[in-house]
Amino acid sequence: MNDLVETLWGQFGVETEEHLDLIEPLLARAGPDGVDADGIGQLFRSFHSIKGLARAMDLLAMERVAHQSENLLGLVRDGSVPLDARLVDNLLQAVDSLKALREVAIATRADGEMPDELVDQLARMFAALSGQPVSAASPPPPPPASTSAPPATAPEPGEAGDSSAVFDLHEDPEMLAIFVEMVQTRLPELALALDAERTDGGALAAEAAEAISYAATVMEFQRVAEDLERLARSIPTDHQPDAEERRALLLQIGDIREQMAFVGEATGQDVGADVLADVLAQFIRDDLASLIQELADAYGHIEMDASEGDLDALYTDSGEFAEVARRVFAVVSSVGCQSLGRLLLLLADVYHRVASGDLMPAIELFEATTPILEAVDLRAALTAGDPITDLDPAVEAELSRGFRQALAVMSGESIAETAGAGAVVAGLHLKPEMMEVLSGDAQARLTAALGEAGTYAYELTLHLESTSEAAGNFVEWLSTAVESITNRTVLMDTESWFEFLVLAKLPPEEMQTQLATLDPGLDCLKAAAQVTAEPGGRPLVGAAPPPAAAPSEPPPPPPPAAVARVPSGEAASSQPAAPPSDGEGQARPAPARPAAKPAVEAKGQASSQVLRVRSETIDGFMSQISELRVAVTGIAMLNEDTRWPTALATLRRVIEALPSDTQGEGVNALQVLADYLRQVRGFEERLDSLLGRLNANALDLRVVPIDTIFNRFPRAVRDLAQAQGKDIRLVLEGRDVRVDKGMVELLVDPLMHMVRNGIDHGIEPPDQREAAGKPAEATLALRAQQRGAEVVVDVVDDGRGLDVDAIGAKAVERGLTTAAELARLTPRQIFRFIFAPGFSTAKQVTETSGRGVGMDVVLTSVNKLGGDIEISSERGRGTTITLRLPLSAALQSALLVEADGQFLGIPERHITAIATVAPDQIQYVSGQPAIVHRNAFLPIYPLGALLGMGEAQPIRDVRQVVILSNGRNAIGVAVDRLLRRQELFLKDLHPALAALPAIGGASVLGDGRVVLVLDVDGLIQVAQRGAAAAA
Amino acid sequence: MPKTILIVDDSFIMRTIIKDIVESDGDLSVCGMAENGKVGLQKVRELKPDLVLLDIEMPEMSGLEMLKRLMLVRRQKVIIISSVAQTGSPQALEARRLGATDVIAKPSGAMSLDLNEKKGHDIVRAIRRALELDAA
Repeated sequence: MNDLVETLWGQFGVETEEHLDLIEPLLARAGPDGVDADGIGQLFRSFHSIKGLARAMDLLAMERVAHQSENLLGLVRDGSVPLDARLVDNLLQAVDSLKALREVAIATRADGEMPDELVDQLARMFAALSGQPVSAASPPPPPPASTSAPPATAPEPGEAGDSSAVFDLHEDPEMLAIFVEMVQTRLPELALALDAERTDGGALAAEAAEAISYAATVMEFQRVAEDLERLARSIPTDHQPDAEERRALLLQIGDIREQMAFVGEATGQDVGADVLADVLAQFIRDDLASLIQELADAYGHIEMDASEGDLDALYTDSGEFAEVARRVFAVVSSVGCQSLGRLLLLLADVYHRVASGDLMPAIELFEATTPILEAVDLRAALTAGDPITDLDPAVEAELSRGFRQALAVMSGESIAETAGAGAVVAGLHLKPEMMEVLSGDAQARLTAALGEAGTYAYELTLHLESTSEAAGNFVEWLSTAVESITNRTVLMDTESWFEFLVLAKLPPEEMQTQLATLDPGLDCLKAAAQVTAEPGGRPLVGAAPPPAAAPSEPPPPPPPAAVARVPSGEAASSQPAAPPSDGEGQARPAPARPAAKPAVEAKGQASSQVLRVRSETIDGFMSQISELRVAVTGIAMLNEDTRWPTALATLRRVIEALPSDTQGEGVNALQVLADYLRQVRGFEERLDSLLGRLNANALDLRVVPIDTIFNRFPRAVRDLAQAQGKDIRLVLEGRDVRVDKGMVELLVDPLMHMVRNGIDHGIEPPDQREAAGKPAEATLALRAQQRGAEVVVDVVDDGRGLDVDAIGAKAVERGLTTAAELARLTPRQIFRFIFAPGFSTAKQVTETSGRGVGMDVVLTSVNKLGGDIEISSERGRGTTITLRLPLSAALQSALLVEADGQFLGIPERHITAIATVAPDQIQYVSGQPAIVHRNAFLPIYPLGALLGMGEAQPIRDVRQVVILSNGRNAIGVAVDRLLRRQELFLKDLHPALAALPAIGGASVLGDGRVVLVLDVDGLIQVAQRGAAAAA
Repeated sequence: MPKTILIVDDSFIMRTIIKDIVESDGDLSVCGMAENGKVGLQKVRELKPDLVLLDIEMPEMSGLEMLKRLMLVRRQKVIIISSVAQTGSPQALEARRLGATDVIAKPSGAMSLDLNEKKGHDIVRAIRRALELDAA
């Protein structure tokens, strides 16, 4: 089970991260109108999901923090308190705590330390806001081990009635009521399309269809709207529909009626479906007769296949029959024959499974099908002009029972005798809920196993969604030591438990002992009982979970939704039971909510559209592609090998020299070889082009929206603004600009630095802003754009702007320029002094900036990636810093070379040529080795020595020289070996490496080997400095 | 582009097992998971999956309730995978009525640890059929 546990942890990491990433920017955006109802709902659900995930992994601390946060948000969602700054602060603290706990959990696979103070604080806040005396001490829902039955905890605050609040059929009950009323009057008009007596019937029906379609669009029932639209278009308005058209219309109307019935069921309102049935029934007698004929024909095919023993055809025709049955169901329901409809659904279900190979057909099945088809066959009544009447429910029950019995016989199970609530199977009394999840196979297995002496049956109620040791023990035990027959979900307090039916060769006393060993603390096991012939069996541990029992102390209504299950004593009847209620029936009316606001904003959440994959997975994938490329190159080289054709030619000569009677065979063999070689070449070409496409697609995998960086800013800006008493509105634009994942890593630090600088130095405190006639709230904008092959990010603030004079004076003071020179510089040029090492004009050093380190480092690392930073600023109006980076910055095409044992990557864009240089070509110019290249002397340096990795030795043998240029100067570097061209992903550069002048970054090859990527500009400067020093 | 699948099941363990099943087929990818019908509806809106794999018995909102609501909004392909969807069971019939594309019974109860072993192949085949992908 270890693999499973590993996967669970992986999934836990991914899912919790996803939720935390959603929460943080939403909270940071919170303000008077910062988060709308959708946002609040999102926050609530995310905390709720985190709670569930934490619970599943047995992380009590995380669970508590998430639980308390969820409680608070429940109040906000109900509209009882606003999401004010204090609440946001508290929730952000909770987020921090959750993040830290998550890290601990992932690293140690264990619960972190309970942040008692925070939990307490959140609980007190909840108590104060809600007026409920909820103490922090009250444990979250799954209480630790208890020997008794699972407690019926009061519903969680904000949880109750939730389904109606957020996911009602429609957010606005009034609109829904208007819609239902409208449908009620107009739905029956659809039937006019089939009224052969009227000439205007088609036009009227089409008009009704369009009107309802429009209303459905407004309600956002897109599918219904589309179906109605389609119906309106298919009604012929210039002639009476022919038989074929009538049938198509009838089927469409049947479908629409079904969907409207769903609306009726969900709202408890009459949507006119019955009236439609009555009207329709007058017009469609012939059509229905022909549909029933079709059903009979489809069944005829199955019978023929069975008699001919053609199984393949039987599967296909069963599928066909199931489809027709489903369609006839919709039509007979639409003329009000519910009992017939249910029988048809039963046929559809069973034959669908036959078609999918899930159920082996047998003679019993066919025998039981015939009477149902006879009952459905209304043709005699239809032609005689008798009214269309539904089947007597008693007859339906009888037919349905016969059919089910046939199914039971087919799966070889002994027929269960129903005995009150539940059934007796193989001498055991099983409760109806358990019967429901007992497949035919399982029932057969049960019967067979209990025939063996010493086998006992037990029912265990377990909580397995956790990683506690006991849960692991149980999962293992269930799949090895005992035989698990089936299990069912027991919903308790919005939590899913499992009730297992198991067989074991253990008498009750030994079972009791085993259970005690498996789970001594009763962490997972809630109840255990031996299953006997008596209802309830013989309890061993705890008690069986109570059915919908009212808690002893009256909790706020409604009762825990989970327990309200359909009593399925009549499981054997064919009544399609209402779906298990989720408690919505008793839900209180939804609190007044603002009118539906289209979810446009949600779409801006680029992150929610993104599929998360661990980056190592993609990197691994990329390196496998690289390896594949090497293998394909290997094949290509084999194919290019000239020895092949030569060998073939030789063979041909030899064969031709043979006596003619033995030649034939040899020539044939030769032909085969030649063909083979040609084909291999063809495949290699195909492989090569496929690999190219694969590589391009794989690169696409690394593309993420820039939002993944922007997401980090709301929180940072909020914290800084708060710390400095500033009022800042953060605007994020271009969030869906897509960049390579590597780029994200490269951009985040420079951007964060610039944003901090802007807040520290640029943006004034509110009073100063007001004094200057500006709004007290400052605006800081991050704008991303993709321009050609560059990503451009502007950091714009409307603060005090840069002080050209102060910067100039400081530059002169630090000796970066002279007063005379300064006078000639433009403001833009003067601003660039900010990037000089150690330059700072800040009067006070803040926690985050003003320490004089930073902007120079930022510029250097951006330059190394081929990007640049520009500043423009207007005194008193604000500053714009523009950062540009080539899109390809993270991915460099490089030439891999080896020098002094180290693999190095040289960016291709800087390579102008590669030369093979013999010692006698080298000339010495002022002691510097050089070659003549393009009619000029080009200095040559051994690359290793230039980087300080090896001794500078005279070049004595033939060497490969790579000629590099930065646009102004060119040098040649001698390397030991040229390896290959490769796309390298730059990793986030380590500060120690960033400091090296000639190194631009590092990358990792598929085999894990590290490659340093050269910064050619820096390398050329190093070379020139060295030359200058030597001179 | 692989087809996108949303998994809705209240059990974390089952979600994980089903995800493995789906992703054993290179033409399919899991675009999201949800632990109940309510979250499921939300995710369908967000992710617009090609197909939904839906459990029935779930807290907060059952799979059938979700299916009913979903079918008003989208012509969505949905395969029910549930322990209460045994052949001819009321829930299976209800799922068919609501327009489920296919219905598959979990082999050994709600927590079917042997789902992959016993039904993995059937599930992938049913998905491929529903999405009209060539038989693998």
